[in-house]
Amino acid sequence: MTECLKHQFWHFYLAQQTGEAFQAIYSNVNHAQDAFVGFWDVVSKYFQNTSGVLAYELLNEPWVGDIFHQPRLLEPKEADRKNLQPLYDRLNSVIRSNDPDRIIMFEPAVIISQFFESGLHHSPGGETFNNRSILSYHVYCADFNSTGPKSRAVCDALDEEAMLVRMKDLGRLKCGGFLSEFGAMSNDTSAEEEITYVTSLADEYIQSWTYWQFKTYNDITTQAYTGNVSAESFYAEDGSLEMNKVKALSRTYAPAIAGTPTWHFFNAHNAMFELHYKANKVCYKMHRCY
Amino acid sequence: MLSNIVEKLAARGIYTILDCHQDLLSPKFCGEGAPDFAVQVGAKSLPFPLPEMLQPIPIGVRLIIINNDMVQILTLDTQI
Repeated sequence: MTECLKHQFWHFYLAQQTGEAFQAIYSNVNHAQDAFVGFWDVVSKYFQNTSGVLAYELLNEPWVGDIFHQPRLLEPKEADRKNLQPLYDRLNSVIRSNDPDRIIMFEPAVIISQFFESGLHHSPGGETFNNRSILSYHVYCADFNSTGPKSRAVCDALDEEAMLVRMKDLGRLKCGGFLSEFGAMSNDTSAEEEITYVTSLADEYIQSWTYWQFKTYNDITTQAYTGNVSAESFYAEDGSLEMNKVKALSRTYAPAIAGTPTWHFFNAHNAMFELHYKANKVCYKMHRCY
Repeated sequence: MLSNIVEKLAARGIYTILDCHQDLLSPKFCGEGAPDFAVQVGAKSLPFPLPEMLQPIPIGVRLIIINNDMVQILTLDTQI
């Protein structure tokens, strides 16, 4: 454990054994993929009637696979095409047989892919499932230190580029999109600015988002620290809330809209909220605002 | 129980995403995610964590060169 924490966790993705273990899932070595599909079979059977579950997210930050035996997997699109698309299609058919209408979230392979379009060709199972499929993606600025971004200009540019790439993916895939991780920073003002910038980008493209992370839960890959305490959550060591972060994350939004949104804007400085949408004449339900 | 947490959150108007979370797949690789039985490596692979050069990189530019199926990873330590 101490040895692990001497290094940034993502370095270990370049170990041969890590890649090989991922590839075992993708290529079904020793029935590793069968076991993974079996896992989702059990989970989707168990939760099929649970209305509180918004979505199943198939696999967080999937590594590209065995780059030492298949170096072409270093090309982000190749790993998506070769390893992830077939796995996602298979998972889709098993999950849909238990729970046909639940949202399935799926993520492109993670390497330097934050700046490259995904090689995923369709939603899990094909375009028939576009209305129940969500591309899940993470936006992190790589230029940060223990408190937050080093340069606002650099992070603005990197975050925006990462977002634009995913919007291109959504244009091609024609399914939903969800910024399912961002942040992971301290209670510093620079971190607060990063939260406001990224959530404003999400508003601009009318995307859902969730912050990483709520509480630490002793995750050893959660590595931004203030002293001995992980700084990524918005609870301090004594259990109190880190108010800069909580304030930045408290943004007005519309959880339900009786139509199609065209403009979603929140001003973090004066709390002004603006929503434009094309009303749906069939749907008379009132929309809701948080 | 996971379902208990989901029910309690739903009662307060909060939806749950069931995320099959992992980083580095296994505690064997300094991460988490899969149970040990699902993480098997071949006898021929290099001992973990080889061959990664494990020096800290503040913000690095990593060049990955693929040539005749050989992979070369160059790391340039540069501050932006």
